[in-house]
Amino acid sequence: MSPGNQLVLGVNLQGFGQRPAAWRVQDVAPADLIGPDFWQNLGRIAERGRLDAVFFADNPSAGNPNLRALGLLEPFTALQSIAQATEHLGLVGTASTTYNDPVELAERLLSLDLVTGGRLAWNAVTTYNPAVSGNFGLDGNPDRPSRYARAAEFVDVVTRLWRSAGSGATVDHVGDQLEVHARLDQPPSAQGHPVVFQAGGSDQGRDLAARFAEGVFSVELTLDAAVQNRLALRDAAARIGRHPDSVKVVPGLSVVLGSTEREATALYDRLEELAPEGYAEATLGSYLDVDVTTLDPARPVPDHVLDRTIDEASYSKSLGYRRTVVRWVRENNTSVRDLVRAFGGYGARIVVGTPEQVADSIEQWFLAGAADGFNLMIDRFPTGLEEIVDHVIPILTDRGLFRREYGERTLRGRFAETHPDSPHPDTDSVSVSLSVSERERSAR
Amino acid sequence: MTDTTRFPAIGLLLDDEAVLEAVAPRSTGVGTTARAALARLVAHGVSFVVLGHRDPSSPRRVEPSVAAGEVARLHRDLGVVVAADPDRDHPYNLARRLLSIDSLTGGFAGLLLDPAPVATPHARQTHWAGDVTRDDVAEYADLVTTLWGTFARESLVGDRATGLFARSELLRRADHEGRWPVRGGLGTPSSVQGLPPVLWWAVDPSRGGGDVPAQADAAIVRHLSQTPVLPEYLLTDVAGVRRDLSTVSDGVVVRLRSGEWAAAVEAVLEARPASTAPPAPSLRAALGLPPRSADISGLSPAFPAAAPTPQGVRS
Repeated sequence: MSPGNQLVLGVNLQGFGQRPAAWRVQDVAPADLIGPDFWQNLGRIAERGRLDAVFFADNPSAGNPNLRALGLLEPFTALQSIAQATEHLGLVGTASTTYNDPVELAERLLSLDLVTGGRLAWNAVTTYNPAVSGNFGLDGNPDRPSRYARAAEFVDVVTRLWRSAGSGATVDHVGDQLEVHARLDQPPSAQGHPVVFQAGGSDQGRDLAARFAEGVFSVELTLDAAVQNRLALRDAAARIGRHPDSVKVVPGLSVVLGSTEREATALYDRLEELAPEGYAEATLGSYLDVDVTTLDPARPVPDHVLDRTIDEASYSKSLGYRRTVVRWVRENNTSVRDLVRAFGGYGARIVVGTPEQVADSIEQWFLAGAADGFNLMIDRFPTGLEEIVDHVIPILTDRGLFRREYGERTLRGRFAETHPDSPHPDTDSVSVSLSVSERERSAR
Repeated sequence: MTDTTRFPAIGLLLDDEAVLEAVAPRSTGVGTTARAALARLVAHGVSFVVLGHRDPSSPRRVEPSVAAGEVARLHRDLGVVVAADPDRDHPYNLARRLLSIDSLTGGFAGLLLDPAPVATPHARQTHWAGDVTRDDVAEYADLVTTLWGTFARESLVGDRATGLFARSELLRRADHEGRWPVRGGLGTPSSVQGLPPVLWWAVDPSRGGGDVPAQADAAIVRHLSQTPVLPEYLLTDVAGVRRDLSTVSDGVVVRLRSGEWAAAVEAVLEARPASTAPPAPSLRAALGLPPRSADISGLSPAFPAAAPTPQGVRS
């Protein structure tokens, strides 16, 4: 890393916070999640901390609000509201390539990018949640190869529509998965078109990210694996002619802060006690495909659970999460009881500690090449975000790892600033990459 | 149906170019005239705008639900009626997005459906997309309004002591069959205005417009008394505002094209003094429509009731 490099920091807006009981320890009411004030306040706090972006995941189905109240608003609608209270903050929303139409989505997101002054990013995902397919007239989700094949063409079509928007040119795409003949008559945005993120941790997800993504939300629990995976992604991007720095790897990082380690731990314990019974066990179990309550709490997870082979094509959950968690369990060869307690990030890495400890961990991973930044998963909103902005961000800024002021106005422009030596990612990387690889082929 | 103590409602049907003028980022220097004109129109009784309804010759310049979010930002009590593309936009996605706008505006969103909408481009493999008939669009209205009722906002409790966030047993599954089968309900709680109003484009009776389905709350018509039961909003142009406002009881929808902002202000100001009445509490109220909630009586629960435990509730 060269000294000029800067962290990318975002906040994952998960309801009242990442801890399921966050709403029970703050003066908040359920209806806060469906009005503008709560979200706009979070946007203002994030902007006060000069954070790069806020992020919404998405799940187009109804979840049980008593387990965790998430996604009560459609993500891009909520982001638009946040945009109206902020000037610089980037806005990253998730939309499924499985259950949207590419022309409709391209049109909608380009409009939102226009009215927000070039601050939008799209996190392109495929949908594996079985509850969703029934809302769209299917008995089950398409299998993984089909979903990713569609996703690759989908992202390609969307970005081509964006690049030609307003030019009068029609995009004609005839592929194995999609046939599209359309054009967008809309004006381009201040950053041209939205930035593309990707969140899948499987091999197919990495290939998709290498081709199209400017940011990747990864799931990493161990430093070595994170370094390897980031390198693999950068290599994959370089192989198709992209500059490796044009893809930002932003793992989730769960944080519970206290002014002392003891205070942070007490808060963490309190929030765990108030969480719905068995929440951590159920989440860990879902990644390991086992009912954790049937395991001996005093012994490590048996090998037969970890060694179980799964059919990747039909696996109905996140393959990336599963791999990461299984590896983490193997490396933490400890009792099921201790594993459950340490699994407080529910799949993301968690740091429970003081602002210095959190900053140290962020710096260590950044300098080790494990991450370009982090998507922060904060225990409770708005309190936890205020604490991060007031106590962690100043440490990172003093260490020269994070900006003191916003520079470029658009999200894409700001990403380019984090690696000043890399080419501006607004260049047409895909067509550049094709010409480079063709040159390589002809030189052989 | 109509509150005779009220003036007839005035809405604007904006073409995409006019919308773009109103919602362009201030940094672009575009839109000052349009925004000033809109402010005067609102002060003189314009209570809603209709976004995204196009004729075949006009290109889509801005996506209507995004436009709605921006117009609502300009004027807190201005209703935003979004024209859906039922041939392309899945009703689950549209219902969720529009209810989210409704939540964020505090009950000022509505839906416009045209039984013969302008075709929108889409991928051939988008399995729910394709040409729609009048009956399909009526089904769309039925499904969207059903979905809007599946998560009753009254279910939200937020009892911190017991950990009961919501009375989950009140949430419903849609279990809708038809052109768009939908199993589950929405994850977005219902509207403070009960159901966001559904307007039916009855301007072209020959294209199914005259046959207004029961799910619609009101119709936009070319001639009055097309729909003997429902409130009617007479479609007029800027030049006809004064004439038509004097003849209607429910209201007019003024078709306003790019470049007509100043003329629209002149026409509305001549026809209507500045309003001294307090703004209506919702779009439904602004349109003079009676209260209406989704009928979810036949729908199955989506989740069991949460069970109290010594630690809190268990779901």
